[in-house]
Amino acid sequence: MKRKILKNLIFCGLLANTVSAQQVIPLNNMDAFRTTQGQWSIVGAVEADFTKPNDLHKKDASVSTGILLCEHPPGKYGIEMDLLTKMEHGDLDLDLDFMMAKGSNSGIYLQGRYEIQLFDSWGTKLPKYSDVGGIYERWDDSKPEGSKGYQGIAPRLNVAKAPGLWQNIKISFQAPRFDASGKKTTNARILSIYLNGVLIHENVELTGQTRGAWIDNEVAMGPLRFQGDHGNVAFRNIRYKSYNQQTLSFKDLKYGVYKGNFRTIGDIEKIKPEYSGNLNALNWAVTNAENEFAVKYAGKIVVPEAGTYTFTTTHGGNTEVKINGQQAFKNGWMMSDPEGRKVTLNLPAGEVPFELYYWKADGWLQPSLGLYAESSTVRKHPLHTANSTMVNNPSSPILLGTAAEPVLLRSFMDIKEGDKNKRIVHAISVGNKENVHFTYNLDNGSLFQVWKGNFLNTTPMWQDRGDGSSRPMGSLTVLGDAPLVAVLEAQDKPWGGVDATFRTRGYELDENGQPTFKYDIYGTRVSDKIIPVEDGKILKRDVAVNGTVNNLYARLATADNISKNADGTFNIGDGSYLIKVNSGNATIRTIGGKQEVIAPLNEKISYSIIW
Amino acid sequence: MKKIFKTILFSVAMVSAAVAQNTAENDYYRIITLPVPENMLLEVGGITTLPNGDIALATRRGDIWVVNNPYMAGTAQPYFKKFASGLHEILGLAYRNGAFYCAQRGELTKLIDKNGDGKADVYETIATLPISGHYHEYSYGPKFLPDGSMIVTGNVAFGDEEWWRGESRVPWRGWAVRITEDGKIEPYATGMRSPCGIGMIDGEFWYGDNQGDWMGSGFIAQVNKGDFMGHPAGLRWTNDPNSPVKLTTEQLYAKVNPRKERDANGYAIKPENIENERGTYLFELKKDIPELKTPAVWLPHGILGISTSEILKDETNGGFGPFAGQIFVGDQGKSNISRVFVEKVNGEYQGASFMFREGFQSGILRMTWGQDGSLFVGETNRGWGSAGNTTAGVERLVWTGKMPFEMKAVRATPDGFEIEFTKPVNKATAADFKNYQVRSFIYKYHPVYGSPPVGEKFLNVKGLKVSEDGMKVRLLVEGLRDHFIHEIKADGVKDTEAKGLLHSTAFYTLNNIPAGEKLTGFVPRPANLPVAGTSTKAEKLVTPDDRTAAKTAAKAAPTYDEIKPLLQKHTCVACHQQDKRQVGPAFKDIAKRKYSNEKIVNLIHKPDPKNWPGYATEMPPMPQVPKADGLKIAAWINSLK
Repeated sequence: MKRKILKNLIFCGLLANTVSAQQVIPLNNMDAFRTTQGQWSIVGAVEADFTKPNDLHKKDASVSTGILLCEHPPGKYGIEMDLLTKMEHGDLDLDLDFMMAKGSNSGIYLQGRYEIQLFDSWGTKLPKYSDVGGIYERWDDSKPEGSKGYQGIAPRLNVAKAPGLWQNIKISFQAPRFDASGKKTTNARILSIYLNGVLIHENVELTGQTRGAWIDNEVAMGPLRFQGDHGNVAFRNIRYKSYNQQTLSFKDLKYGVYKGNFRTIGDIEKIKPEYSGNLNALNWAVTNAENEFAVKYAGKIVVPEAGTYTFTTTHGGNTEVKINGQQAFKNGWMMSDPEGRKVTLNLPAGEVPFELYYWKADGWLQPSLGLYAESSTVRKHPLHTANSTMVNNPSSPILLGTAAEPVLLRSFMDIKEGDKNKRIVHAISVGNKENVHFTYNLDNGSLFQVWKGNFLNTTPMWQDRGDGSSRPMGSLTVLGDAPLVAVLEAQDKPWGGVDATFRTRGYELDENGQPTFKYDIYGTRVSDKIIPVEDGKILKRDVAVNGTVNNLYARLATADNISKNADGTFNIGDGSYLIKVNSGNATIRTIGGKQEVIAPLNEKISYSIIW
Repeated sequence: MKKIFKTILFSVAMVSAAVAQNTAENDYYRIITLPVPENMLLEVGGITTLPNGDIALATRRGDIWVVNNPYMAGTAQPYFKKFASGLHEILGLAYRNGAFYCAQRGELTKLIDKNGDGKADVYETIATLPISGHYHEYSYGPKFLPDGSMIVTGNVAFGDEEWWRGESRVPWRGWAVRITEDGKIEPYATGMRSPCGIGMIDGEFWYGDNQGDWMGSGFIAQVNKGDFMGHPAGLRWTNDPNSPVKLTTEQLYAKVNPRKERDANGYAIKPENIENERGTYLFELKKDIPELKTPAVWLPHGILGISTSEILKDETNGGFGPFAGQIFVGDQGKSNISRVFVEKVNGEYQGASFMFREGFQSGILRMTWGQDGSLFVGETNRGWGSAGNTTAGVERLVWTGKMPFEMKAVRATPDGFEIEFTKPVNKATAADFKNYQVRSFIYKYHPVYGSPPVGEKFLNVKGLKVSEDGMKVRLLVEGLRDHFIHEIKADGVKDTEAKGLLHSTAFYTLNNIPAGEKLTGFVPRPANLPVAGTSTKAEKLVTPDDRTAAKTAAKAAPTYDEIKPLLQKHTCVACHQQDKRQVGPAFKDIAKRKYSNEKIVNLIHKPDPKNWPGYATEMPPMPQVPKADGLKIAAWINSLK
């Protein structure tokens, strides 16, 4: 009985997973925020006309909460219109969605002091610090005119979406450090920022508060602040993890190096180490061997406070680990998978015993050893030296850029359909100088993905033998791999797979090098031309059929949720992208739990994809 | 004055280049490397000659280039113009009626320059080829048949768990298909594994493959509609009503065990060579499987190549030297060209293969005849490795005009072989029995990667007769075996200037022994002359010898000069170099693994490709390397640490 209880306790301890425990700033009401003089409100839905300056307003919806909306006419400025959280933070991982109105300007101030710029940068070619995702400049009034602003950091590239669409930003922030007397010892730091899935900053040191800081000082803890005095903006899904500055560390860590071909720790314990020593972090390289070695580490982990900790180990070869007398990782083999093996343990404060064996018997496998610790309040950090996980010299990437004329490249293209991986085998990607790119499936005539940013990473195909695939390098918008045209005998017939009569005929380049794709289906010839317009803000698609087919339709979009904005554009996937029909008669239909935009296809149809 | 100076410099440059490749072959066939602008990567997957003599290249990166002045006349610089780009790893190129045709991974494509700007603007899909998306599913071609239809071939994929087993995941992988201009795909022949070697000779389609599962060694064969070439993967689709091959996988597996076995834990077991098992020979299945076609000519693995590529007939009418009408076969991994003489006996092709030219800078994938009778060679080794260690490029092989002393042809006779030379022989050397050695062997047909040469026999040359004009020698050979490879060495035969043969070995694939007149009036073999034979096959050592050998090997590691003949004899150098990665790892890198000498010998006999996941080409088992030799090689490898 007793034994069973103990076992259950350990079991719970191992399973309680706190790593993903994000906290949420509730948007049911304004309770999470300090009072403000700005026009902030909680609404259930919003919409914007991407062509109208500062248009972003509440939309009727079945829900009335979940979105934080700021409606601010331009021209009146003041810090009192900003919105501050009651929550105060030091080290922070923040993840939220935001939506800009046309021409609008806002910002996220970490600790109320360091601004990550939000801006309608849709279509901007060379982003500056003042574009979306930029780290805003600092300001010094004592400097002469023209050099007052300094240290603004532009994002690596511009992946801004159109006004009226939801964009996602993920910020990892490290707060400044102070000594006991309150003197700053370490500058604040942006560890990373991802905008719409693309890494735009890494390891940016912030020497001080940026222009427009809430208070002109730096502190250990401060509120999150959303700017509300430069135009309309909305936020949703504000999630964060807040960390104290504590870490786990080793004490009295000893190692012993063994030489031989081992299968279990029993094999290792049978012999004496060839040599031993002390270290303060794990490192496989102390073995001074490429293969057929083992290293045993034993010592104590100093746990800053009692709590639930998650450990991740990654290694080439085998490890077995005991922490606080519990078997944390049993004997397991791995090929340096960066995801690693994870375990969650309840640990008391203070020193707990630690024991790790790492051994390798596969000559071809690169040695590597890593162990990370984290908790709901301790940011994930390594317990190994940095180079211990660097398995080999990574190959130089082979990147394909754009040129004056569109750059076309055929390759396999891997996509996700739900949780499933799918390989499109007759794909062609088109890269445009406007930095908007797309991939087309020649097996069914679908335009299945579009992206902004750089064009293609061809390393997977052109490095060594390769696997025949390339990867987009930018913020990807997935449109879905399904045929554009189909015969629908009745309006309630579901959209099926590609018709058996489909046959691709390839493509033809016009005088600008822009391709028109051609295929035969239902006894007619379809031509399909997709080009960037308005300097790359929009992709325009013109589809023409040569001959009449009864009940022929084009499906322009499918998503869980489609609505029509006041300006007549179709809002696909709750603000994921917009469809504007230039010529044709499109309607929304609901079928099979999904919504679709379909239009009869007589001679031609033209529509724009806006994102 | 200036001009003269420039000319002098130019000649000096040419001379030094020539000196750098100072091999015996170089006196007769010179390699000229095409100068390519910096940063232009010509990983050649396709090459063809245009009607005006320009050369067009297709690359693995998907570009098509037209090269003006590839002969470097006048300005001495070729001019490269990009005709098309963005295609999917092109591995074949043809030109017909003003349009280019090329096989991409999943498509046969026609490219047309409609507006006359020198660039393709129509990329027309002639036919979509089914493909699953596995990395190994390369497509090759097209080659035009006389009726204007095209042949395209496709590699097999490999299994997920059985990563060693070629499989056809979608129709026509492992097949040759015939495609008409209007896009109809007709399955043509199957049994192919990695059919990179393709050629059209006198209107007939030829194909070559290389060692792999079910493939003992490289070879070439002429392929007709409905032929089955030996690899089982493509048989998956023979129940398709359009399939001209009717043989099923089950019928084949009833004859030869595919060895799909699992261990106690349910994991698939990779089939390995069973050393003492005789095994099955491919030709033995002919009586049960009428669709089976065996190689016309084998290209023994490691000796004449390791990855068969382009098959090209000499159509230069002497512009390229004395081999008009013969076949040249490129090799990607060994960076060499073999020469093949074929004849038809009993309605079937057979013939002899010879080494022709080594020393190319990179792996040879494609070849085409220049307008001047020179041979353009398109090269790449990325991901595959090659003896020449340049990544990619184009070279040109030019006949110097000097007549090499070679076995021009070897023909089968009812009781032996007739060797024809390119020059009259010194009759005394040609009549000396000591100057000939004949050995026959064959490869196993099994699901293992490659095969050691097996069934080896040294044959007695009972008599010989030198022709009046000194151009031919007829050998009377005892113990001919049909379908076996007959290696004929004529090492000591000299020409009238006392020069030896440039290449003194022929490999004759004797599919049929012709009927006809027996040799008469020959010189009989002296009664006291024993049949000489230096075997590459292991002479089984008894245990004490093994121990002595091990001791000797352990005592002092041999030097490179000592070990070089062994590395060559056992074909190690076809894939390995001392310091550099080639097709396989460098000997130095093997040394780093700290295997014992014994372990290295075991790995030579039974390689474990899992040890080297960064290398794409597997090593075939080589049990024919005697243990004593293996230990010497191992000791040398381990001395490189």
